[in-house]
Amino acid sequence: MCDFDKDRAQHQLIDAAIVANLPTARGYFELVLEAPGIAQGLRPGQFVHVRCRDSWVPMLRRPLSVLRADPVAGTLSLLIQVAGVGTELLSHAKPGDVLSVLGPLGNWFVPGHCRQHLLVCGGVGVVPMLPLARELVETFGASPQDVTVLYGAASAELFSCLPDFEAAGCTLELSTDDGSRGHHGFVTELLEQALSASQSEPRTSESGGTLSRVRSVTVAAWKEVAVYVCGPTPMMKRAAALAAAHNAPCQVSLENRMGCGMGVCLGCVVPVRGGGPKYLRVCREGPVFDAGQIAWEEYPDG
Amino acid sequence: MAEGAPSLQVRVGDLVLRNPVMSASGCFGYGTEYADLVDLNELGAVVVKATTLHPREGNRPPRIAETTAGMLNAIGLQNEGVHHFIEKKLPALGEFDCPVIVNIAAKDPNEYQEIARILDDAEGVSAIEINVSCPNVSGGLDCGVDPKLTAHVVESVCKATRLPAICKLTPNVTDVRVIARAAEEAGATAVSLINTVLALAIDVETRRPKISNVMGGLSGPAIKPIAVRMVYQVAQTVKIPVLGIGGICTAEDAVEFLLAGATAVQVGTAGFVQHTAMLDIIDGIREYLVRHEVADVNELIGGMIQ
Repeated sequence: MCDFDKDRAQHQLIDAAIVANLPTARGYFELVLEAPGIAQGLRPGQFVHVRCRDSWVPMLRRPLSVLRADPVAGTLSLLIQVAGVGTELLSHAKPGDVLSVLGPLGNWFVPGHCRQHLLVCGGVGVVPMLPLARELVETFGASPQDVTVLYGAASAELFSCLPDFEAAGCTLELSTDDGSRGHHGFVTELLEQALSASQSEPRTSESGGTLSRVRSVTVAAWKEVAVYVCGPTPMMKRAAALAAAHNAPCQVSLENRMGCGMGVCLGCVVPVRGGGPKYLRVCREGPVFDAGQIAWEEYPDG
Repeated sequence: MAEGAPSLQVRVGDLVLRNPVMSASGCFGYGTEYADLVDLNELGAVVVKATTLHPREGNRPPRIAETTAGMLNAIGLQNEGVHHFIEKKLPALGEFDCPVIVNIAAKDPNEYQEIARILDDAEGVSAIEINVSCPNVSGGLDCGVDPKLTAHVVESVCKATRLPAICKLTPNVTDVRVIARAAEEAGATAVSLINTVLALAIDVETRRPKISNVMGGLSGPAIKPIAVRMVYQVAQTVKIPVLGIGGICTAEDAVEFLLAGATAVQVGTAGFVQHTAMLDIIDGIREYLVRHEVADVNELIGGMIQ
């Protein structure tokens, strides 16, 4: 995760025309927006704050993680799950409609200095994982087979973006609650297996590593596995605990009801550990946090 | 109508505002967070987030919930304390040509007085807004529902500072006029109202309250007609200026408050959603004055025809 204000691209408030509204899975749709200013320099995990329509009902904007940003075409894509009145309205948006979009907002996932990367997601938590997987492979130089996406859903017809992960060359492991595809059970069970397997594998030497761009980092500082998580709260809690038990660095992307998205209203805070402030803002210090930083025992299950 | 553009200037005691539109406390941070989206130099004033004497960590999350045309919150006055405000937040606001009104909250009259004394010494504070009406902290509402306590707090603040003192009133009382009169008699320069309406929202699937504090304060357009009514009642009762607050989203909303008797208005929740709301409201008031051939916005104050 990153919390350096100086690295943060300046947010913009724009009226974005909708280019396409594509169904992806049952209850999911992908909105493609013309937003050239925001599409520049967007990082995996960052979000935009979207007004659902030009009205005061529903009252608040919706924070939505960005699935794809195309700086050349000047577009960005949001993968949205219909979860309430706001996302229901957005699901009816048509090409040519205009939405007020504020972004980019928040911090982002920072690739760990590790050989293997485990991207763990559930449901709509898949959204930041696609840009993260791509960045790991395309920018950070990770070998695609060392990027494993563990993706859980309630049922087989609720998966999105599977061809995209396959195109990126990632290893994809699926789980469903009803057993209709992949592992029958929780995605965190796949994580537990993957973490146990990674510990039993022999360490690769520096010369055998694939992360050529960061060769200067000493081998001693490298860990085997980095874990990145986004999904429902119980799943994130479990994933954070598993990563901690395996001494693996773990970043979580949190979601919360937001008022302003700008760090002002203090409505989206999460409880954190340590001697500093008791609460940090998901919109500003997050949405990506070190899993060990979160006071999970006080975190609302919501 | 008079020649030239209509005048938007209003006065709150000795404080001259270039127009009657300011931010509502807690909804605009310390101003600078929005400076790239909103030109602070265009605003009547900035009312900053409530400041207490000592830092407060605030309430457990979840702290906010959306309701129909509104938002329920129980932030719990999270802030870094008045000294941090003066050292870290206030100087940046000095870069702008915009009066700064500091909202203060405390647990008793002595603490209010101490904060007021500290702010009186600070450079760049134009007025104090005394928050006797936060519904989300233990003891927060105690002052604002009791005319004697309200008067005691206002007196204590006025003894400690020459700054204009605006007393922010709660709607969670039987008769707001009684509290407003007490604030006026105790020396308040103005009253502002309404703070949020004490409210509750329940998730029927889980049967749990939507915010951890159980009850919270309702804001947004849902509360506007209540606020207009209370501003009207108070304006009929006191001689000091009344600042109207509560669900203002558009210029029409703002004009409605002026007609009910407000001298100026504060914009809160709307700014989260439409960041330029205050600027749009200022432009809209100007257009309204032109359209109705009114030369001076002060002519609208209390101008409801019965």
